[in-house]
Amino acid sequence: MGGLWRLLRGLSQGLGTQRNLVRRLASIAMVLLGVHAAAHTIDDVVFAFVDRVDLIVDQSVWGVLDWIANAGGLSKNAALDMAETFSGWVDLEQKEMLSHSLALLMELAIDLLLLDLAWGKRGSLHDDTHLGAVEELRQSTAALKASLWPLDLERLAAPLVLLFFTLAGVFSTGLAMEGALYELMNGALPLWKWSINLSALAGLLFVALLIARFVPDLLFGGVLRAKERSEEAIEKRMRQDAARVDSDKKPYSKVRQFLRQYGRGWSIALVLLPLSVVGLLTQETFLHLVQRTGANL
Amino acid sequence: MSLDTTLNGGAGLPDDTNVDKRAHRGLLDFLLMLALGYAVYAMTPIGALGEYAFRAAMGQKQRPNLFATFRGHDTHVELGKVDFDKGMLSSKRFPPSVIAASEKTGVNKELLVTLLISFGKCEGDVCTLAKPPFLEQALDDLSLDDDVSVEHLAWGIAKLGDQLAKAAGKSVKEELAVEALYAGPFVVERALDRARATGLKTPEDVEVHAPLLPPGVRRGKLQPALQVLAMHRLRTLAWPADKKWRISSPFGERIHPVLGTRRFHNGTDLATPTGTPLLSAHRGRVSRAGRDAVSGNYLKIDHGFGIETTYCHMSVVDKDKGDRVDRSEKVGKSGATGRITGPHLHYILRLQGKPVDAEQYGAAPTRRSGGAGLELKFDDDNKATGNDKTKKGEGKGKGKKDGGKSKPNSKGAKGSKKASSTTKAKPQTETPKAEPAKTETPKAETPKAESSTPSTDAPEAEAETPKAESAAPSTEAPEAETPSAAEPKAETPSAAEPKAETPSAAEPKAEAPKAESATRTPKSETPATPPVH
Repeated sequence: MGGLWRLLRGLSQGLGTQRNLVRRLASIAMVLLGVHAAAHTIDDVVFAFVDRVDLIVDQSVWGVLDWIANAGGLSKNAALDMAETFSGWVDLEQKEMLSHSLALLMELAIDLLLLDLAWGKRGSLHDDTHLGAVEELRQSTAALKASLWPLDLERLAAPLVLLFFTLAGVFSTGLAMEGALYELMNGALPLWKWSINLSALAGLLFVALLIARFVPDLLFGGVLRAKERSEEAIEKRMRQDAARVDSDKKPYSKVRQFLRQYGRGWSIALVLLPLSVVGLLTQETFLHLVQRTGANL
Repeated sequence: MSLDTTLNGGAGLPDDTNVDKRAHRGLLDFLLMLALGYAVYAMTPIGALGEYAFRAAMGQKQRPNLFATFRGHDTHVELGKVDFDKGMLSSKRFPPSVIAASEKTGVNKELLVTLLISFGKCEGDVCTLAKPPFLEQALDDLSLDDDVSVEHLAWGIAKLGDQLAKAAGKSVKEELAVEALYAGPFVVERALDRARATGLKTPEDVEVHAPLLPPGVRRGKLQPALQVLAMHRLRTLAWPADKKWRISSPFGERIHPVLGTRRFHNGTDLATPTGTPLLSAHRGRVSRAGRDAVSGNYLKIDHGFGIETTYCHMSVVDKDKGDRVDRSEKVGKSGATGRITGPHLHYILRLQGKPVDAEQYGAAPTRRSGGAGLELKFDDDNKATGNDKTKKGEGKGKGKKDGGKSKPNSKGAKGSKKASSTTKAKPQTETPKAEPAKTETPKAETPKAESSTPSTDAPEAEAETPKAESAAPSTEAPEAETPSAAEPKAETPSAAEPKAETPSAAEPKAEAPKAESATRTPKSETPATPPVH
């Protein structure tokens, strides 16, 4: 028994040396799951958009062909044939396929965009030196303050987006874990009615563990990364300002400069933040489960 | 001694006083990460992409659908591909043992036949099927052989149905019972509890509560039940409008009446005047409701298991996206919106995303012979009859591919097959009807003792379609709404008559109303110009 314990401890400590990698991978997994939670909404929004655009284009084409037919340029049948052929290019099935494809691409694009933040940046606090909880917390708070100030859109939105997507991912995983645990318990003790509530409790514990072990680290890493990116952007701009090359004379340079400086922050705030909220809201199943478990216990 | 020292060649393990205490939780973090990694693999398109790439690299042909997670229902992801070929059932009669079991227990004959087709066989009048995993438990731990009688099965369904009676609706109750027979009653009960607790609408629908089942159950034990339920749903699809409306343009390749060009028609056109009530083909959820330049006002209903129906050119759409609909519930009115020349309904039935001929399924007013597929015979060699037929390429696949143009051949094949089966069945059907119940179910006392409870329920075939009757009044007997009853109407004499005329004990009593309904002919209340689009 003692030997097993020592083996486990050794294994745990060995894995612990790689905890930055482990936590980063876990963070990415949580964000991917969270983004996927919002995928159905992305699909619906994309379909509605494609549907509307298709209707407008089809009606416009039919309007033009009808006008030509009325003017004598085409027979009615030919106009109908051409309009139908044109409309047939994108029918309901194709629109669905298109919306699925676009939604899939968007999900993957968001995954890629957030990959950087989820991978995060681990500061000096995250080396292997154990300073003690109080000292670490003090230093973390100071670093967090420094990271969030001066506040810009990216620094404000990035932690929120990460938080919401992560929670959505954690909840969906918790629900799946709870179901798997129930199956396991029910297999061992088939008639044990308490397995329902116990598995729910275990699911909640799993969620709590995920949040406790990974979420603060993920958010902190994300904030630091956002700060780093922001500083890089400022540095770059300063270098450009200092060089004062001919870029100002080029057309749209101001626009490009603006997009470079603020585009990422705005896209995170305007696109990802609402989506992350939607992703979290789709986890009502889990929240109801919490409610029910609390009531039953 | 630090941990680094230890791991980098230091002597022995570090003692607890000096080691980095956070490292003790390395294993925990690692296990949590593994769980998250598995969740990503199982639940996201990234996982599907990875699996796709892996399978492609290994040269495997079966690859995951990357879009599966965008179909709206998790069941599409989890349930896999349902073998709808088995749903191409055109059995005109029910085996006597099925009728007897249905009468004793009140369980729907269609459901029993569907189970038989999936997992059973009939020899003479005696039909048996492979024992579902939880049947013994449902029958109070009754010890059964590996092959069980239909009556045992029916009692199991009836008892489990009662156990799960909290769910509303008789037909749903039986579907739940089938689910519980294969997945386990407690797992299903719990999924129902969870679905209710989360405030989901119609938690009793398998496609609603299936995502709440444990993943292992969804992918394993539940699969046979889902196959049966999908087939059952397909067999009991209602017609989208009153059957009196003529089919102005069938599914398949056709010469466009106005344009004169060859076009594939992905649906069935019903010559319904503007304002005709349109009915939902089955229970389901409205997945799309909108307007399209070609389709006009349209409504798409997801009936679960990959079964979808679309109604085009509607004048009035009563339902919104996300609404639940019942079987034969009014969903709107027919119209002439979109690119058409006259009012009609363009009705599309899709299975796993592919449009198929709606006339081959459910309670279609006519039965196109191109899809003559599986048939449950109850003679000596009827095991897997339908599969054989499908494999020979005489069934649905061919009919679908050439848009029903293979009528004569497949009808001939079907007719000859029926004739032979009828000939063979004759001597067996002379067997007294009550005999098999006694001989094959020696342990039937237990379930029989409780026969009063389930038998008080009306037969499902009647209870399941009240709305269809009210919405589309006709001279049909109630049972004629079921596919098996509706089918004789479409059959040409060569195919249908040999069976109908066979004077045998196997002929169910309920055949009488079928014969009446077969005399009904579609009325010609259609617009003068055949509407097309």
